[in-house]
Amino acid sequence: MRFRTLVTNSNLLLRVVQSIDKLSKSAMLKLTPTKLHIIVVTDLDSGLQLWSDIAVDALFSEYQIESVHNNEIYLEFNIDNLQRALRSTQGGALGVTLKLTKKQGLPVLSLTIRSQSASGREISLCQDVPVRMLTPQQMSQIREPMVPDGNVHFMMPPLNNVRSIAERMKGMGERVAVSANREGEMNVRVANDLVDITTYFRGLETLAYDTTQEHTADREASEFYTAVVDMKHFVKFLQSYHVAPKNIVCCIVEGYAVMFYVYIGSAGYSGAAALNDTACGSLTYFIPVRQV
Amino acid sequence: MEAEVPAASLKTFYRALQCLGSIGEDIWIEARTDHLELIGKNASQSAYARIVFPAEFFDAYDSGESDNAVFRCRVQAKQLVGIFRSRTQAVEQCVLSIEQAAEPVHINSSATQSECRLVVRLAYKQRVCRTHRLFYEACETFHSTYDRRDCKGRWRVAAAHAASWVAHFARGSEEMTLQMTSSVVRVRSWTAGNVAQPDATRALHTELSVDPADFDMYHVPHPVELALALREFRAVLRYAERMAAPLSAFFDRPGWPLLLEVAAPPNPDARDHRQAPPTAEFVLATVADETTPAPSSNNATPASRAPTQILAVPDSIEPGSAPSPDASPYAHSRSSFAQWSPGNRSDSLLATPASARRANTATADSIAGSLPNSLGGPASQPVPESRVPTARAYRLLDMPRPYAPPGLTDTQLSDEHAAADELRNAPPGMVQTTLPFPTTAAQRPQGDMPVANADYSSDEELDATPPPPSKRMRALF
Repeated sequence: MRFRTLVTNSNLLLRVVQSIDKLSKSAMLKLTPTKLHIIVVTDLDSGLQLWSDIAVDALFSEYQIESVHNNEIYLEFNIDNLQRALRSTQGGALGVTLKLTKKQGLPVLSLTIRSQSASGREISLCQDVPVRMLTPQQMSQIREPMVPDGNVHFMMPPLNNVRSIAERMKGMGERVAVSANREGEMNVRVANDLVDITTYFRGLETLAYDTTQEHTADREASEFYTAVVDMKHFVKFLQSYHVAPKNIVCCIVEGYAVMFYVYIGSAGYSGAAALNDTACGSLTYFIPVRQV
Repeated sequence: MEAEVPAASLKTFYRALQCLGSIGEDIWIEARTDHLELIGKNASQSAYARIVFPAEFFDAYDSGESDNAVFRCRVQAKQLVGIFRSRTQAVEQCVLSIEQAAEPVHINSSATQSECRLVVRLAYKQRVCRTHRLFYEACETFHSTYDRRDCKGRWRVAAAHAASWVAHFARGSEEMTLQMTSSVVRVRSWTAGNVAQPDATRALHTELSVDPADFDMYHVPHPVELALALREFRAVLRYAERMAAPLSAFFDRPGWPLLLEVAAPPNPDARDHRQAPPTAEFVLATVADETTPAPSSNNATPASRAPTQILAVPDSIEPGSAPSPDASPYAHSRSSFAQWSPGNRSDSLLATPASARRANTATADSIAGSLPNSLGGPASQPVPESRVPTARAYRLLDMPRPYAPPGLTDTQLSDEHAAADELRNAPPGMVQTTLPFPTTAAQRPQGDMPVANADYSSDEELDATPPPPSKRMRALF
């Protein structure tokens, strides 16, 4: 089992890891010859899940991976450790190498960073992130959740706004109702014994998707589809805004889940047109409906 | 004793106090005729700090004693630091003085006006005056007996450089190792914890290689590797950074303490008090190696191999005496490091047996236990037809998306139909997972479970919620 690569876009990788930092303590990494998958499963049935993939070319160069099972490597790591390691790459590194090795007989992801000190000499810094290797059998037990047809898709408003609003609503209740219709309107509502607060977002970009399935337009375009999710999960997702705060699609499946697709491409533009561009990867957040 | 700190140097004074406060709980004050010393040490007596303010630093300084007598006392660091922490910009005058009771204080006396107190009086503009009276305890002070002239290796580096090395360490790091050879300096981090398990809960390990040419002065005749506590080293670094002064280190071999000095060079152009900046010296104990002999000094003789007392009380020690019996557990754990062989030390300190460390090592949260052994819950059981949604089910990442990139994960289409059937019969809102092979749970006949049970609280009966991690592990492996 070998894995060794040069990291060309450590900035993007750091931002992705920062986005998932708040979700959980540990995450899984699946490395394939073409893509890198980061998977975070907080609780199998009722927790927030994150499934992501990033094209290897967007992050690495001279990517070498070899293993006995299809040249894929699966491991589990602590998000905070990887984030700390990647933060050391900021500030003008000359070269960053990532490889899987063993130190003291225990597997680590070793990040070697060459940078320049103030006097111009070279400083070599090595951050070893301890990982746990997963067998293919363990990995195959991790499956994405099954999800029925999506009811409505739209582009999220700027995440900073939604986040500041949701954080204020956080103390009001444990469940938040996220609803949207096909005309670009979204409501976020929280209620408890004393108060009932709804925030209305208007003028959002709706997205049509060509379905060949029997998509029954069973409602008017102005009717709302609602999913009631756990407030904590919703706020946790909103705190991961480092990667692409403007390129996020929200999909509501009524009574089942809310899903967010964060598209990672070149930074900058937003809007529906951006989705068609060669995105180098995406993060999919899956927030199931709260049971009780 | 009376000392008046110039208003412009209050910040410097505060930084010195802050540094001592971060090392230990008490600050010892020793007032001599020509300078004022502030001394601190940490609880396990493995770090010692001494900051000397020459008399020229103050606007007015009077030690209040005759030529050879010295005034010594001890105050609580938190109180003294807290006084200077806030709002020192508007201070016009700051005077420290000792007030002694006019007559011996009896227990029942009501002489509350005159007590033995360290008085700090801060005079602000508009004739506002803040007076703090701190309780002090007259006691003996102590000094380190290690002399930098005995040390064979030394270097000096700008404080910002040294701080940048340690900045890369993870937050929980407890110790660092400095490996110095003539061609390279390696700085490594070490954290207590479950080092033996191939787990993701171990701590980040950092290793940094620096070129000796980065140092202002570097003289290391033979390779040396020192392991010292990170907390005190960071306190020294912070002080050096704030004073914008270079950090000098003197060391000899493992087990001998590391002597650090922070002394800003006097600035001849500045006003008088700037010409006498405080000099600070620190002594940090390092971990002893098995093969090196214990350091011997004139007054104190430590026990066989452990780096214990680095301090000597001037008058009361005699050669050959054992270190004080009230050394903290930290000192004990340090002495057990002598068991390590030098061969291990060339590698990272992850090889350290966890038992040699303090008892309060981090317990490994069983984060790992919740993944992935507990994942892959068994396929859910069907429920009555009345709750059938007729929509087609998709794997999450295969859902039709607006112009989304095509399917992103492995597709195993043969599974999809079976999974879709199950989903059709499942209550909405349940997250399904499927296994590529049947589990023991799924092999139970389907008709066993109670029908028409729409009550989610009985999820355990439906066997949809996976049992806690420990039970899962026994079931699967």
